[in-house]
Amino acid sequence: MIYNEYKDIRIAAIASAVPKDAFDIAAMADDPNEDPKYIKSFIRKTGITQKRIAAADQTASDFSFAAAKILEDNGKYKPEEIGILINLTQNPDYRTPSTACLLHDRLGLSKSCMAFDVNLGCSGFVYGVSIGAGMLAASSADKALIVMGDTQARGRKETGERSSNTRLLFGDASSAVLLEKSKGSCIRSGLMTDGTGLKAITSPYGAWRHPEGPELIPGDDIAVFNFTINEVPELVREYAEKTGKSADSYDAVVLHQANMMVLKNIAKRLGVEFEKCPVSIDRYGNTSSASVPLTISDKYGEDKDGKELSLLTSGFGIGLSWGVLDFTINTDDIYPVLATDITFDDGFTDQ
Amino acid sequence: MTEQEKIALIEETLDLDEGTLTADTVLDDVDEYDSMAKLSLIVMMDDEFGKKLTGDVIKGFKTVGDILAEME
Repeated sequence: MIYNEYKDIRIAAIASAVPKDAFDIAAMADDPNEDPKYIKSFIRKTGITQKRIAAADQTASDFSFAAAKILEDNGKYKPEEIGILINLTQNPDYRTPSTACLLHDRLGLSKSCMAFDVNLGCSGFVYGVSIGAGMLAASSADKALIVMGDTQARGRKETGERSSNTRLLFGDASSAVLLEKSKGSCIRSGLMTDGTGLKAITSPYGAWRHPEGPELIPGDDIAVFNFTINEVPELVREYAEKTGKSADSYDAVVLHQANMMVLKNIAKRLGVEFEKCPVSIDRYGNTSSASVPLTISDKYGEDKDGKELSLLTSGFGIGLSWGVLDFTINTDDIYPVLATDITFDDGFTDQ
Repeated sequence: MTEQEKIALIEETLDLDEGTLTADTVLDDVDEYDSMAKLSLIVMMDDEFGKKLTGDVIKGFKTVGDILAEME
């Protein structure tokens, strides 16, 4: 484990945005093109009854933009204060340039700002906050904006052939996290990578080594499941030894919303009551890089009681890449999930 | 645990009615034996028998009897 401590940095706010309309998976059981028995079994095992799918003209950056604007509109930052913009996504708008440059323009940020993308999935939140906090600590800037989001659901066909798990599993969403310098605050993380797991989850086609090929290829569900239920609890235990703070001593343990079986299994292996692990997968599906902050927005977004929360979070998935991150945040600084049909006309047209 | 109890546990794990499976049942003939079911099998085997099933072991399962052989 690479252990990190980012002193005098805090998470100042979190906001999340999702597509406007809910897609009802439970209703698919009545679709003559679907296998109702399979749909019911899928729901029982994954816990997913609904999810959000981006419209054909919406990309992850639209939701990232919407989430960031919530923070600006609520006075959490002024555009000229942001010195670092990091966008974590597997679904960029373009092959080049990075989506962060597009968001830099849309958000009206100053030229005195570094902006770049990071290609990570379900570990995106813990990695993104770690990267941002580390850079902010060494920077002349006072605030950093970290956005993360994916549209893993949008590209998948939702009717027709017999259902496959990944077709139903993913939902679209983005989140925005504002980091700022704050004397006495501290964010900590523990990060891991296992590149030998590359083939367990991958989209190898359409880039430069294999330009032609299908957008999606089947992953190794069993390898990913075994990786998750073994490696994540082990990392959390190692992290607890390092920090001296056990998982059950936090107000909540916010896990990447992989599926309900994974959530329950990790909680059990950590000895944490499942009630302490907030759930958003039931209504939003597996939302990849945004799932941890989306779950925080969903759980605490309406709580304006000024409570200081101590949260342990963990993200894990494609890479294989995984990590834990702990921090405190005031419930007043967490905004409820916004459902939006926002899109962006960049002047290009499909060819 | 008797063999019948173990078969009942597999049936419960795969969402099947009691009495659906025998030790000779070929797994390829069981519609419910899909990738989600295999994950459930991993959880059941760990919870009940403290055994970690790898992908290779699961790929080797051809009949219910092969699963029973691991349930010790």
